[in-house]
Amino acid sequence: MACEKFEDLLQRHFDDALSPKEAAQLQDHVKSCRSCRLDMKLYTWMFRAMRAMGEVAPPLDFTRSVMAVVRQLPAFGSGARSGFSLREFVWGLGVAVVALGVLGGVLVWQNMPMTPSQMPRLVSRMDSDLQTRSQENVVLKAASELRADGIKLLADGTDVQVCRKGTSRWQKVSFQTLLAPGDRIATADRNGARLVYPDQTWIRVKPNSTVQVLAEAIRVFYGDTWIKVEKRGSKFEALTPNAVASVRGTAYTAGAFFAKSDVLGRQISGRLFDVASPAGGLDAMAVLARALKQLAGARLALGADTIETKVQVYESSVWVRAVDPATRKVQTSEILETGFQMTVADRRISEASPLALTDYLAWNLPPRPELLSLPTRPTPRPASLGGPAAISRPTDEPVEPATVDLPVAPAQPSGPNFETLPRGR
Amino acid sequence: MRDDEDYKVIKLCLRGKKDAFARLVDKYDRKVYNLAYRLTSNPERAKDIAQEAFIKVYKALDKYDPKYKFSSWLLKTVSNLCIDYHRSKQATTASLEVIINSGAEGSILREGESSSPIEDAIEEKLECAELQDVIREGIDMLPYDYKSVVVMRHIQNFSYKEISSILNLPMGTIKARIFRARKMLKQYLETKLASIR
Repeated sequence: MACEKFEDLLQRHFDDALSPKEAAQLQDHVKSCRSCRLDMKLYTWMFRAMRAMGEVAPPLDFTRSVMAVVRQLPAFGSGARSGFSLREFVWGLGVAVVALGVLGGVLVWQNMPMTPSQMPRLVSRMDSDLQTRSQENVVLKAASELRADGIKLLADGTDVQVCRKGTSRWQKVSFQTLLAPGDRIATADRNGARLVYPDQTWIRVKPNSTVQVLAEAIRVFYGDTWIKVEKRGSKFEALTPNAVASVRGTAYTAGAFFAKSDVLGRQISGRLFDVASPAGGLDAMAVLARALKQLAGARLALGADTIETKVQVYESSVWVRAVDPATRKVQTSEILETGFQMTVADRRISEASPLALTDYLAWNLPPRPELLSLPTRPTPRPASLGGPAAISRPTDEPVEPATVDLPVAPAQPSGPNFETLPRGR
Repeated sequence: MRDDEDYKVIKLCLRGKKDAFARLVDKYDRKVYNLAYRLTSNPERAKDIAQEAFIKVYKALDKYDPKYKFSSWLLKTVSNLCIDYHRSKQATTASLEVIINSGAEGSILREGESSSPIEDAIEEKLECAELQDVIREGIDMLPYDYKSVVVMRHIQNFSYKEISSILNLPMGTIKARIFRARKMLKQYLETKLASIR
């Protein structure tokens, strides 16, 4: 018999699907055919190797972590299946898309990000207002453990520069340099850097970033940082205006917007909340991503890490809520629109938080067609990426955000008060 | 727990007793996680997919049809999530077929006269530790449709019927894919064997 026929018998042999006659035919053939004998050896070995791969144990806390999410979901048969309707969310967000899209034009050009004259003035405001919503740069603030004295800067290459506090001179640094609060770091195209704190917390600053180290905080002017918390129990807040911060276990990534040179061009570096959630969360995040994409040119990468994410649309803000898969704690980001500056605040909320999924509502945002007519203005050139020359010396002048008269929106309740909302189920 | 017991647990959940769902999680966590792990080759991603599958299934419990096995439904959810992951990765891995086709060395094993010393040498090579990884590599490089059936059949030990139910494909299709996948893996193994001295 031709060997092709025995190929089929061989396959079925390994499925125990041969009749006795077929098995005998195969056995006889294999004795005299080296090629088929070799095939039999190879298959036998292959299947044995695959069986030997065995089972891998799931993580120890697997059931607990699944049930932690399940317990947050509304119970069946409770009569209140969910106050959350995906359709309402999506519809509400659809309206938000329009509103955000309209606003995008104003946002981009009114707040062409981080021009040299803006940044220095923003620094002084930031210093006095770290706990609340930050209007400007990203601030990653740690509670107590992150001390700015004795921070080591480890440069990945020769393109990392430092501007010491109180000066405007940028200097290239060697591999390892000690920093002090107020010092700024700029990385260029090819190389990043690492900041290592005395408690071994380290922060990776990626290429094309500018950051400032502060006492108990780090400010990102633009670019990406990635924080890895080496010490358990450290708490971080990411206050990120004009930016999007994502939380992933104990690692945080924050990025600041920087615009391309063409109008309405926005690129979001960094990642929005990692999403690995039930359909509602994923759909909501997808819609939010599309909404942000309406700020033409914005690109948003979505990861897949958190367990559950919801999006809330309020009169003047969009909230994203996620559950940190590592700690099971609820985190909420506010993407706020305040005087045409989008801000995002990440706050870690304890497990005792009274937030409940059913409290999330989709609201309609009023359309703002008057914002469509933008005054003509030359598009400011963005600061060159990683360009330390763009940052000038800080001053103490307060900065008023640009404002445009808004239509009076229908009265709506304010956003959730984390302290007073009813507890979740 | 038998399958009808799965349905009893589901009914409890549908009556509002959420904690009962933990029994299903405990029962299937290993199977679910292993399927996700073997299909993604990434333990973190496997954990996420496994968790997401349970939660997705929980949220849709009120749509569960007891005519079908809960486990098939659950594993089908895992499989779909793995497909999504695979697509999002936009596979950049080398194609197994390309490697096989370019590996002329495999034919060396079959050339020459029939000789038991050569076969002994092959036997010896097969015991070589590095070959353990070859099969893993080969499986990872299979086209996803083939990889999934090989993983389910030969690593997870699902029956053809179970695989057909999970993937919602006719049994004939499953068998054809498995046969083809096995052949590709065998050819890949031959290619690698020929390169081992």
